Amino acid sequence: MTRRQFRFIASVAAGIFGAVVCLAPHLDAHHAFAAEFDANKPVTLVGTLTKVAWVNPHGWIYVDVAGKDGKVVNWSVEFGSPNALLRRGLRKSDFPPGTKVTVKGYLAKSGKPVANASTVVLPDGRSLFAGSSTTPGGQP
Amino acid sequence: MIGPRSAIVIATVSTAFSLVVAAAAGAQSVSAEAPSTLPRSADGKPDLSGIWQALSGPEFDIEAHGPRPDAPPGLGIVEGGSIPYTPAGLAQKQKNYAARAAADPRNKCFTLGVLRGTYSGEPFQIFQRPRDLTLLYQFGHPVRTIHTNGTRHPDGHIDFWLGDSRATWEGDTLVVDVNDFNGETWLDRAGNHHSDALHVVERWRLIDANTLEYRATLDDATVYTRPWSLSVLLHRRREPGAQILENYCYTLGYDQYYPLPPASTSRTGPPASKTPASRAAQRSR
Amino acid sequence: MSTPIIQGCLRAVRIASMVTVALTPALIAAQGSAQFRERRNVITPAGPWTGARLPDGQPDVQGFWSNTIGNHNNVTNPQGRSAADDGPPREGPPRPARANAAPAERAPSRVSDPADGQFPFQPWARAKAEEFAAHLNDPTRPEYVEPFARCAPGGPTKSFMWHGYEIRQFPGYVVFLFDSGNRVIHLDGKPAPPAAISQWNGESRGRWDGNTLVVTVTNHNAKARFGRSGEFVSAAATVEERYVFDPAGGRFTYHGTYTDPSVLTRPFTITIPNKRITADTPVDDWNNQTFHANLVTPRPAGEPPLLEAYERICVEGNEGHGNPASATQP
Repeated sequence: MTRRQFRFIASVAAGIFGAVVCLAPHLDAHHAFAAEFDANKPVTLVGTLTKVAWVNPHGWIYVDVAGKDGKVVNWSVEFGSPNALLRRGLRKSDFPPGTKVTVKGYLAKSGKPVANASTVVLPDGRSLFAGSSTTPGGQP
Repeated sequence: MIGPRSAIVIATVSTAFSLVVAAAAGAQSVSAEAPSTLPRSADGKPDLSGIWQALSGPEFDIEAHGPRPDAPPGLGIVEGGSIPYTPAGLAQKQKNYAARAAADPRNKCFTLGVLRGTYSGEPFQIFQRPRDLTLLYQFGHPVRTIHTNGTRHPDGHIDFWLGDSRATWEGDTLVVDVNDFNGETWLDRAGNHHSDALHVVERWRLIDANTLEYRATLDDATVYTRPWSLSVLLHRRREPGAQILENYCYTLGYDQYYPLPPASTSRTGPPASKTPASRAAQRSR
Repeated sequence: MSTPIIQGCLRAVRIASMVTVALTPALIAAQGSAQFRERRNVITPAGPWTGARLPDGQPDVQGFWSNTIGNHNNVTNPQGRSAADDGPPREGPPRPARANAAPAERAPSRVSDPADGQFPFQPWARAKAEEFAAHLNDPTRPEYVEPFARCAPGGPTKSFMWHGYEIRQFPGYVVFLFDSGNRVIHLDGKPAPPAAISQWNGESRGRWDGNTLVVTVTNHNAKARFGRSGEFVSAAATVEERYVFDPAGGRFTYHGTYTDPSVLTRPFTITIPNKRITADTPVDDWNNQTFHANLVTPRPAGEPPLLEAYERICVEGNEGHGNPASATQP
């Protein structure tokens, strides 16, 4: 097998692997960012919270976002650690359905409405990330 | 030699006595051994430490049920027989039941939760010290802490898989107040369920040195019309060398790729003579 | 940041929480990491135990602890740059780029033996580890995904290169509770399970020798590897550990020695220093993830708060493999 043939097969395998893990929303996600999300595809979403999945180490929010065509799509967005929010006295009830949010992040490679958030901000300035910007030792 | 009339009297009295004992045993709780025979910690409390396991019936369905292709028959462990669901709660249960082969959260190795983790049929270990009890469940290997140190639940509602547990001793019974549940766990494989409004009061009681009675009262106004209780016996694992083994079942979908992928898919790997690594990797599946 | 009013009666609460959230994370994280992290290994010497003991005679080392050096980005340069620094953004606001400080300003390799701080790999194994590291940010094959990212347990040694953890002791046991996984050290001499049992954190049998907990790890599947820098051994490796506790109560040093002729040219030892988390340690969401418990009866002022940790359950892409039985098998 030549290197070129091998690289082709490897890229096909990567595509298949990527598609398999990205088939469904968060339940199939794993936190190897680059296997799941595309750092070259930043996205900004403005919408309304419909649900919060309060799991660690990365929670998920579900956001109704109106597209340019007016159609509302429900996005799945991975954010930071709910336990960090708990330690700051915040609770899931602080982020009820209907809350407006602005998400900046990166699109899933699958092309589905799934994103990994860098920031999630509420109109009153509250954030769904707590302290992870200065996490010691580099990545958390 | 006992004459026939005396024998009949003895037999009648014996039978009556047996019936009385049986009636007592069939009542809500099993009669307990004398307190002095129970294992105790240095602080005088019964010592619940050990490896415990329920027989597997409740895991299939905590309500009474006949045989199914995927379950043996069982008398159930729900006091009063059936769970008092609201109409919506019952509809959800039926939906879960119909979809159980695919929808059971156990399939994804999600934490079984406080109720099902107790009677799932896989063992768990209790480690007891004065300030708390540590419960390590073999399935998925999560850890639950029951605090006995005069602390209260945290403020506000939190979505925990295993709730938040604060307990006191009432005589020789450990009474545990559990809240802060998420709505993700099932109570069995039949799709019996609860919401994140669940609140549980547990009573743990050694009825002899090797038998632990577990009784839980559940209330959840979202899903049940009133509180209800279940009760099950746990048995101490006593064979020599008994221990909890790892069951990080959520790794089973990918563990074949570590530490090295199977030789046939690997671009590079150990020299052909270095077989222990690949053999070990395959043995570990 | 000015805000529109949402509901009058909630305004005060929200502004207060906004201010708290805006101020607290930066203060907490910066102070905490700066104070807890150290740039050199403080090694606790082995010797007698002169501190408090539990009723069964064990040295009492219970509580919350964390390693003083950092994470598993780069095992041989734990406070230097690594492939992880070049990766795409992961979460939260962007972090400042980290320069590779001079050796005197960063902790040494976690490999304390051999003296050069490198893994004594056979050439094929070194190439394999470098392949894993090179693809950390481009995991086009399943084996390139660092297993911690999937909630897998950290393994006997890497578990100490992550967030703070908790030690609990009982007659016959020392139990370690990590964010991902836990380790039960059996002290009662019960035999190890058969070799067919092969586990992420292995099986641990230990005994106390003065201030040192001496542990032999068997039944180890080696799947956790050692870090994002890709190093590994095989399941044939033998693992001997020493946990050396300072009787003053604030520090201990972990040493893990791995012997594996199928992967290495000679054994190596990883050394990880740790410090105790107390009520005075700032909460930084990394080393210190504790909170103060509510009390039924408030205690007099001056009494230290009781520390607790939230539930340690990692959910990240659980797949379909909860080993459900077929038919009537329990």
